[in-house]
Amino acid sequence: MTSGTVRYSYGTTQPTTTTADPKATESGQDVEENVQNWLNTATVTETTVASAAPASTPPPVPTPLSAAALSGKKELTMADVIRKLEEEHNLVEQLIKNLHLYIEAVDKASKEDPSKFDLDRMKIFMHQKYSHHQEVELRLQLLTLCIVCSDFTISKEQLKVIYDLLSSSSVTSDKDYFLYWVRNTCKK
Amino acid sequence: MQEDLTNIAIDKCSEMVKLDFLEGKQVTFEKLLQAVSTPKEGSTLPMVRLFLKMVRDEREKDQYKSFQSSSAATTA
Repeated sequence: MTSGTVRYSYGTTQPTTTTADPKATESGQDVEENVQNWLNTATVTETTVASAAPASTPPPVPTPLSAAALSGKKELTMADVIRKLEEEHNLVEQLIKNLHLYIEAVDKASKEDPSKFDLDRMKIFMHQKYSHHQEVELRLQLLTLCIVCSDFTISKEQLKVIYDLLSSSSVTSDKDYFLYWVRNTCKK
Repeated sequence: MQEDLTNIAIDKCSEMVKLDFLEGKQVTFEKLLQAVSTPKEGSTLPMVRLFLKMVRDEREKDQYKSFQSSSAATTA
């Protein structure tokens, strides 16, 4: 293929190539004819575009529908999921149990090496990766988020279990952290 | 290094289910809760973190949806 310029033949979508050879360049009459053709087809195209999609109204964006929405049922919410987890799997009880197991492991480790647990709570590491502060904080954060996202409340008994766990913990600052957590959760 | 991998795994897992409907996510929540309640080895904190992230993502989605519906009502 020889080097040349790409010229669009108006009215068609296929571009046509012309060679750079001066002999092959189009005459003034050809250009005038082409312009005339383009003007004719351009008018038609503009009309077609204008009738197909008016500029003032953008096309509607389809939104995905869940299976519940398609079947006409009420769509599931996060509150429903948390309520179901609480009713069927005792969400709060399981989270408290998890915290209990962790605090138990801390107590056991502190009996073996008490000096390790006199440090700042950010510097105590039970599992290398996470500090004691993170371990307690994230568990309580999850509990808070579950309470905030749904309509159930944590019972006094459950709160007392958490208090007993943290106040009797080998890390003395846990009791203060519990009070801090309760104050912040009540604000939410 | 190990912590980075855990963080990447948590981010990836939450991204994978982020756009799922709650009906599908519910199974993941149940499995996570089961894993949290029966710890086997090491910390269960990665599971707690993934649970937290999924709940937060869903909350953000709800807030966005309610914002969208309220703005649509205002324009209508």
